[in-house]
Amino acid sequence: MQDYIEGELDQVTAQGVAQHLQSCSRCIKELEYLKKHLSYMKDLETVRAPKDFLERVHRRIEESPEERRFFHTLFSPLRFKIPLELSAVAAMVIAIIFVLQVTRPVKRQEPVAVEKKAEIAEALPSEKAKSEEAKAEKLEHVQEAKPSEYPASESTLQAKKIKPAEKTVPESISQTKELQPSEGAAALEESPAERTAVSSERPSAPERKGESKAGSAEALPEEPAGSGSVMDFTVVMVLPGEMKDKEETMKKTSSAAARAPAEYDRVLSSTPAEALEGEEETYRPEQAEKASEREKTATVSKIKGEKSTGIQAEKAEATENPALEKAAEYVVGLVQSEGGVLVAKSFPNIPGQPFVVTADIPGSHINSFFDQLGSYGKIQVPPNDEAEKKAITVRIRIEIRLPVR
Amino acid sequence: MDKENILEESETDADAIRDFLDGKRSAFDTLVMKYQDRVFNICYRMLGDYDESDDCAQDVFVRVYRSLGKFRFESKFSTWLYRITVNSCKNRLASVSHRRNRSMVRLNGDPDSEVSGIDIRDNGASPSNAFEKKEMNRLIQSAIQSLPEAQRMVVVLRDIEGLPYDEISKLSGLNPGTVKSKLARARRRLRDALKGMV
Repeated sequence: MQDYIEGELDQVTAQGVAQHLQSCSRCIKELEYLKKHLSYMKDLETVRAPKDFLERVHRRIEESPEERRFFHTLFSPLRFKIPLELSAVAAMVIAIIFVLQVTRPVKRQEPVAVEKKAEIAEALPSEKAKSEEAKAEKLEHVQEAKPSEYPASESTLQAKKIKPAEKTVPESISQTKELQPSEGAAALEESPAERTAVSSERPSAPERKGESKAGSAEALPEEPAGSGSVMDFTVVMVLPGEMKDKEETMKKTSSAAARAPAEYDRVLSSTPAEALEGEEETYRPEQAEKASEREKTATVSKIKGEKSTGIQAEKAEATENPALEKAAEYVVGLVQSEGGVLVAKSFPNIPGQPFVVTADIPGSHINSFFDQLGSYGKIQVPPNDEAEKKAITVRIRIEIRLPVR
Repeated sequence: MDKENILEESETDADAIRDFLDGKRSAFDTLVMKYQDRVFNICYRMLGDYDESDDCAQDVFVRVYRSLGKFRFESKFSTWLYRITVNSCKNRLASVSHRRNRSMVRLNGDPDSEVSGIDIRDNGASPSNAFEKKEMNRLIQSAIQSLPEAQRMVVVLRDIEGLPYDEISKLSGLNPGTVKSKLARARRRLRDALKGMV
């Protein structure tokens, strides 16, 4: 039928179709529809190109085909479908990998950081080491505040360990752990009540400094920290016990010293208020006995309270102790003979307090220095092999003490 | 269009191509100006979207520009041009984005019935359009869009553009008999789709 209407049939066939159409209403309907269809199709409005079509064609021709292809590839949707489940699994895998990558370096860095710190601390005294040194010094001050430091026995010497705190960080850390009571002592200094308890026995550090200037102590100008000395030692030298005349002189002092360890322990273990009460109970009888002497020897009036004035009375006696002065002079001479440099010396007028000589000794002379020091008094030689090997200067703080009866 | 005109036209096209190949860029512009509406119309009838047809028609002429050097003058330029046009439209119809853009509405029928009419594209035009012809055009276009790709191609090329069967056969690569049968099926489907309107 469509060939017939489009004129595609030959004449004979076309005539046959025409005859059939005269008698077949169904085919006539079909023919009519086809005519309508073709007329509608031909009448369809031709959609024309925009006026600037040619210009845009030129523009597109001038575009780089690679560039256009790239953007087309980038933004065109994929030709294949990715299942949602597969996308979710891929996202999970990426997330897990990301989390593992993020967390892994942290774990690795931790030991590295510690090692580095240790290396730095070994090479130079770091700030941490310095702070720990300061902490240890605080402990010393607290310990010095009581006569408990008196090296009455080997055990007390062991307790007062020589501190190679500056060697390495791990060692310094372990030492800090050993000195855990010092944290209590440091806290003791922080609390005002505790400060009172300490000052009842001994004035605080600034007061003591001023006192030493007023008394017989002679402080040499200290060298700047870390001026050539790499290792620091504190050596406690206990003078021989056969000095009977000195024992007489130090009778009261030693009695206080004998009492001190227990008090110290109590101060550290109990609350500041309790410690203060204990102190007061212990000292009150002595204060009553020496009330008259206090009036005579009240040279130092800065120290507050009745308890401290009682101590000042004892100090006047201790100042006259020639044994400590003699020993200190010996140590100073020894320092010079061993090629060392005297950094500071402190001869406080406080009973129970050691005379302190601080000096820089060459590492090569350190053993002979300790030998001669040991011949004069009882000392515990700190480990110094490293100092000798490295031939470095060692700063030694020698505390000269009288023996405790 | 009689055979003499066709021959004359093809000769004109061949001359323009030669001029272009000789370096005369304006010859290409002549070809574009001559065929742009026809190419655009085929694209629109095939794709059913003005913007996409615009892009597709530009793409056709860019391809022509780049491929004119390969033209061997064995067939008419228009046949070669329509082949490029039809292939470009097919590529676009095959793309996912084109399929995604099509929102379908059911025309003329009960959704529960299997043979209840056809799905045609909703162009968003108001049904209360005052111009009956425009509305008819829209419905016919929608019906064409609902045809399978090959049937749509033969309807557009034969019934709208009026190309002869042999040319359609050449540019589509189908046998003339296949073209005719596809055309017959397409017309029948359109008749069913536009039942009561045409």
